[in-house]
Amino acid sequence: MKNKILVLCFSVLTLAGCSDYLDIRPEGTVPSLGMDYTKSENIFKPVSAAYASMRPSEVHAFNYICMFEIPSDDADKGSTPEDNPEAKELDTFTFGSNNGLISGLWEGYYNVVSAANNAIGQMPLFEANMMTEANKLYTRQCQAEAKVIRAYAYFNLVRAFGYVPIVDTVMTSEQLASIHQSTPAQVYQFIENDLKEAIPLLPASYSKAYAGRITTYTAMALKAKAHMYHASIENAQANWDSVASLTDRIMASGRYALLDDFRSVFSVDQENSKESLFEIQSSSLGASSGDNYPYVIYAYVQGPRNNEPSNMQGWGFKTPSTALIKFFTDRGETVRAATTFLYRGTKTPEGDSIKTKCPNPVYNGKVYTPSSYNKWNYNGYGFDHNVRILRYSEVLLMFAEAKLQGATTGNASGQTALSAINEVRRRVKLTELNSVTLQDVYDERRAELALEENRYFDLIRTGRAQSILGSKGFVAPKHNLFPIPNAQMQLNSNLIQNTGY
Amino acid sequence: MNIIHAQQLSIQGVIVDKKTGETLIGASVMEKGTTNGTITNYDGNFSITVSKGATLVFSYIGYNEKEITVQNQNFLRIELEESTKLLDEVVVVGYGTQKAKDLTAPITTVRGTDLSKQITSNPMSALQGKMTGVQIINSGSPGSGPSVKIRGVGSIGDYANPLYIVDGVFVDNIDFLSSSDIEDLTVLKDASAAAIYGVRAANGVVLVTTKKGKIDQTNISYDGYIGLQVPTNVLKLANTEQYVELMNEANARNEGYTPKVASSYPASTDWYSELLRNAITHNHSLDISGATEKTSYSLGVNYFYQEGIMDAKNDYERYNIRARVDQKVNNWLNFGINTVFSNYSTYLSDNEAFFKAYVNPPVYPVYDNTNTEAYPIKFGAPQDYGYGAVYGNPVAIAYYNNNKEDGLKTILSTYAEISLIKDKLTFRTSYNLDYNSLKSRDYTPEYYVGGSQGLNQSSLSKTFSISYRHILDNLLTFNDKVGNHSFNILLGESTRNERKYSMIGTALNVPYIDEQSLYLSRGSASSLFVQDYIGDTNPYAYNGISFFTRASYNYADKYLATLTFRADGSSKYQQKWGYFPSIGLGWILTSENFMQNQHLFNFLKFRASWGRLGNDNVPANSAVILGQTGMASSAVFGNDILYEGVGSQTVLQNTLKWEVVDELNVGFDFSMVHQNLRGEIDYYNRTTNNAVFYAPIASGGGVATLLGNWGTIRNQGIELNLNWNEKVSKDFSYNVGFNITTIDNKVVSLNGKRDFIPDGQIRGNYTTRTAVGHPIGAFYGYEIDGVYASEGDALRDPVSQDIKDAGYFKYKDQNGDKVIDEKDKVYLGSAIPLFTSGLDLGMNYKKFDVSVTLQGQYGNKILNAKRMNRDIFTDGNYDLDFYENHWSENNKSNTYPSAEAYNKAFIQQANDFFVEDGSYFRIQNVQIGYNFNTIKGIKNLRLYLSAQRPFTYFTYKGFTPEVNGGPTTSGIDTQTYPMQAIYTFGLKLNL
Repeated sequence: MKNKILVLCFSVLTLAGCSDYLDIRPEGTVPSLGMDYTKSENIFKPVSAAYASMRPSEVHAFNYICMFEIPSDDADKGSTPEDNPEAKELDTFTFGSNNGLISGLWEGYYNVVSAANNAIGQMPLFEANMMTEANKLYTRQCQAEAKVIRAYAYFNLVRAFGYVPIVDTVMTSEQLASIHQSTPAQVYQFIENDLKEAIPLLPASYSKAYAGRITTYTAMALKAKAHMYHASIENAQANWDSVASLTDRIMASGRYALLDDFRSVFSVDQENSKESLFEIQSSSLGASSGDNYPYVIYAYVQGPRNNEPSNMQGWGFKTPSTALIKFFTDRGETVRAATTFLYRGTKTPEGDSIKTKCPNPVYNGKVYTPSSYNKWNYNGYGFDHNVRILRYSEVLLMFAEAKLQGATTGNASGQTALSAINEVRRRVKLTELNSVTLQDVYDERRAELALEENRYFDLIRTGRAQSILGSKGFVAPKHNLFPIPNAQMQLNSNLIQNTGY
Repeated sequence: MNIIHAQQLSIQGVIVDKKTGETLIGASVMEKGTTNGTITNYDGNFSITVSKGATLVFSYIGYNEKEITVQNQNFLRIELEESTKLLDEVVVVGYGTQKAKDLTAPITTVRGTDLSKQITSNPMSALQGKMTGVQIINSGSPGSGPSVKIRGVGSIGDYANPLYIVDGVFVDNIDFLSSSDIEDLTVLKDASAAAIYGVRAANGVVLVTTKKGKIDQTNISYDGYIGLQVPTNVLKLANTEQYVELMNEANARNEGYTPKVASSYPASTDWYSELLRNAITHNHSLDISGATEKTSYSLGVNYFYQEGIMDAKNDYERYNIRARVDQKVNNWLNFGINTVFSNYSTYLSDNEAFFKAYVNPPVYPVYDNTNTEAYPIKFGAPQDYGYGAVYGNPVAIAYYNNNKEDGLKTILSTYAEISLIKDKLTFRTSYNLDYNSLKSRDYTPEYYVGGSQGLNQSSLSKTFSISYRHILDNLLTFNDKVGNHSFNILLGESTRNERKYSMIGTALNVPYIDEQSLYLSRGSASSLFVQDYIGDTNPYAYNGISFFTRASYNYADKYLATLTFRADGSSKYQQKWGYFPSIGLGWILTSENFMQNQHLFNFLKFRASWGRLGNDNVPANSAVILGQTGMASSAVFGNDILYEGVGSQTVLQNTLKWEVVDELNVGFDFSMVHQNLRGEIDYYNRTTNNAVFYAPIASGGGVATLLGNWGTIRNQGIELNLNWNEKVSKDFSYNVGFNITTIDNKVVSLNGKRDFIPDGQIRGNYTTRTAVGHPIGAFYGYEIDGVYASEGDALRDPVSQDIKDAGYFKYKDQNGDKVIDEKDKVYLGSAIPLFTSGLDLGMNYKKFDVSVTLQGQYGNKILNAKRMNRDIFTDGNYDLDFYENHWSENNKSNTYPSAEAYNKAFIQQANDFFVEDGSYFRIQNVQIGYNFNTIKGIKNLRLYLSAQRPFTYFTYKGFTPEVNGGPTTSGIDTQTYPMQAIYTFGLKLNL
């Protein structure tokens, strides 16, 4: 009997006791709320994630070019005629609310918003734990960077969709499912407010190791552009004044200038140069294959289709249109034409050939990357090419446009509309103008910023879309905005579709 | 010459069935208290030498035992009476056994021998069509196990797998077992039976006992077969001429498109026939088992090999060793130890090759000497013929794939049973372990075919993974009988600990010399990359504690009751503890006095049960938002400097509650007509509360789906099981088994959180909708009202839709508002069948035996998502069915669109062209065997020929009508590889 009891006890002792036994956090994860807010080296981490959220293809590669440039008169869909019917729908204005590219872009930019909101929300927690004033300032600077990223995301969302919900904090899924849209005016005000708060907190420049991070001038340039678009909706005078004063500040700072060589503006060597105010960073980190590297496929999706060797080929989308080529020829463009157009059957100055067997006669030359940079395994064309978002030449042209629209501010730099536009023209060896009209500025914008995702929205904001794109299928006012994606309408019953869809 | 002592008797005799007088073959004759025994031969005769005054025990399955003490007899004629012994049979239930007649719940058992008849690598596949309420969906790859759904999709999709318990060890599936290892397999379908397993049991429980030695039945047997697997129902695709015709029609109005010419292409390749082959499979099992009064042992060795039907190196090989010893130490202590080692080695196929075979145009050849850039083999490249980088030569994909996986699984179960009060109070403690280690290596050499199909540096990836599960069980059982009252009480406690850890390393530039040279350290050091976090479920760590009790009561074999209660704690949920009660009642009507005079039923029992169970087989949810690290959260600046970031979602996590199933079951067990007819009929009603799954959420939170307790789902239906066994004469007997299960699935509520949950996103549209009053994940889209015959017809139609032209679908305007939009979408059916059914026919004539198993299901729908990819594969191939039936000027179909319309997003959404009927009928197995039982020295030799799945009939235009999926995305078919029929020859030898 004694034996029996002993054996019994042994087994009973094996009973696990505490409820601690049931408290386990999933493996391999870091509890966000357990982030060590006392360590200053952690401050930049959420902001880094916000920058990274701008790399996916839906944000700055395929969906971006299909929605922001292909519908314009400057570009054709590209690739073979039968390829990608959804892009074809965008090229011919036959798209509806269930177009997958439109849906993807919405989701991509809201992910940027979410990443930015996360960073913005975490910074006060860091600030509360920092001891030194320098570190506290740094947390506010980082928060400002995240606000600029958020403003940029909403800027693209409002241009594309007009009526979008403003999500600016952590929410429950029920709240997200019932949030109402804001009007475009409200969205622009939100954007401008974010940027206004950010500008004084951002540095003028960074060390080489951080080249590409958002500076105070990045914020100013973005704000100027936002005002420029805002002006076409309401308060024209006040908005143009803001455009002028902001661009004037940038010019007066003396930190930015045009590069002498237009071609080099788009090269990998001259990324984040003195002409650049905002670029989406893309890098293969020198690797030649593998999963998960921080590159953007913006250049790759526009690369010469079926070209050889295999690291010099891409999908061949967003090809320059004959209308654009004619526009350049009529203007006598030589420098810009040589860079913007990459013809098949030719050899580049850097020594790469575009074979005659490529299906499209001409490709986007601004994303051309010489083969010495393309080390990625069999499809690395342009993995190190940064996406240019804001350049100094656009700052000059925005200034010119604002002045011609009657802006009275922005006199510190001493530039006039004429001097600004001529600076841009001089760089590309065009004869300088004696007088400048608004149409001159529009034309100069078209030529200088060709294929940089500006033309389509420029036409809409200046009211010329119907007359110029009507032959492509554009119908005003329906096509002034893209439709709210059908999938989103299913997930939030409070969303209202844009008129006409 | 034997010398017979004076005190010994030599007895001969014959054993017959008391009622029919037929002789019984293989009946057992034993001298009681000794190991002296024999069995009757083919004529029912036996011969045995015993001591005078010895007692002989005569027994036979299905009959009552008889004992006779011999004094002087030389010849005995023994008449045995058929018994209700089948119902005296002992059935394995949770944590113990019960007599079949005492069950208050529907529990179905299948013998291992029945499972062995089916040619499958996995014993669960052998159940297909044999058990009511159990739906088996097979997959085609070698060695892969099926997905099992018990009583409909209540709990959810991937997490709907039942709980598998092998000799007390919890395992994820029984892929590692061979049917020859199994003694019997029991499925606990309803809540009251499964409740004893509480937290895991919401989707049913499958109890497997491995073979155990039986006293006086020493057994040495060999069981083997060799078979040929033949791909069946391979979908036909268009050839070059047909493909070109369709492409030209589709793009006729496409500006800039130049019509293709079939003769300009060098080939018309049938990619599937290039990729498929007939493949061999063979299986060998050796079993030795026996028992004495104190010890029982069982040893089994099994080897299984299955070649894959993809024409490249892919196969599956498995060695199992199973050993079991149960020992009676003394009159109060028993112990036992049971181990299964399963060792497999497989060369995995890359099923991407099948997908590419489905989409690649047929226009280029497999091998192409003009493709000078290709090395080392000159495969044809689609890019040489103008195709984009999304296409790749399928044969090359299969050829350059070299992915080997080795795994070792150890199941160890050991127990000690202490009898505290003899025959009344027993304590049992057991330790169960399921330990798995996995090693895999995936090597791709340096090669190039075309476009981006190639690797300029060889790549090696290695994975090491360990997962294990410890369970410690302590049980105290008390049973007693007082007069007519007998009862059995169980108290138990169980502690669980589950872990998984993995590591993956990759390196480039590893030269291939042989298997021994494939090491990461032989690659370039700068390319070496290691990680140990693979995803949400890898790694994992879970802990669980449970307390449970069961009380069974039996009054005079007339009234039965069973109560169970279990408390479960799990580390997976925020609400840690769940409580699960159940009650079952039974009434054996045929024991009642008022039933003694009727002759209709030999046995009739009425059962009713109710139970509540939890499901913790869901992903672990974190209450707090977790940070994400890695490349996707890290920015790069300056000269390619990476800055580590930590991102996180901005939508709050849902607090996860237990997913709980409430189930009601009412049924009858009966046997009639001299027990020739036996059956069960049940009505079941299962409600899954707080069902846990991922549902899409509105943008802005940083994630597209969120885990939550999104709804309550109810499944109900009828299960009917009938078995007819008749022995017509000495030479001929037959049996017919029929089963049918109906399933009615409905979403009862969405917990007030949303009006509906859309899912199954394809091309920017949702294809399913989960809403109250409809099945979960029901297809939701447009009904088609015909196809416009001409542009004029389209323009004259007052109803407006996005695109209206000749060859385009005319969607039905459901609400009469003359506009086709979201409001005109309707429910198009669901992936859950209305009923599943099976039919078993068997016949024994003299030494022959024949059996046929049929199986099928009806009423389920499948979304043919394979065809819905023309946004990416616009210039991909078409299936032959589309070619033959598509709308064209010469064939104004009213059901198929034109080739041009086919490419448009407007056509390619959920509508009743893509949502097809998935019903099917299948001949699951046909087997003919011949028994040699007169060979000297051998008890029995059976030779057989068998055909597994030789014929499947279905109208669905895909490779298989068996389609799986998650809860709200069930039935969305993207499978592009075919099923196989297996033809085998086998033999079973009993020494």
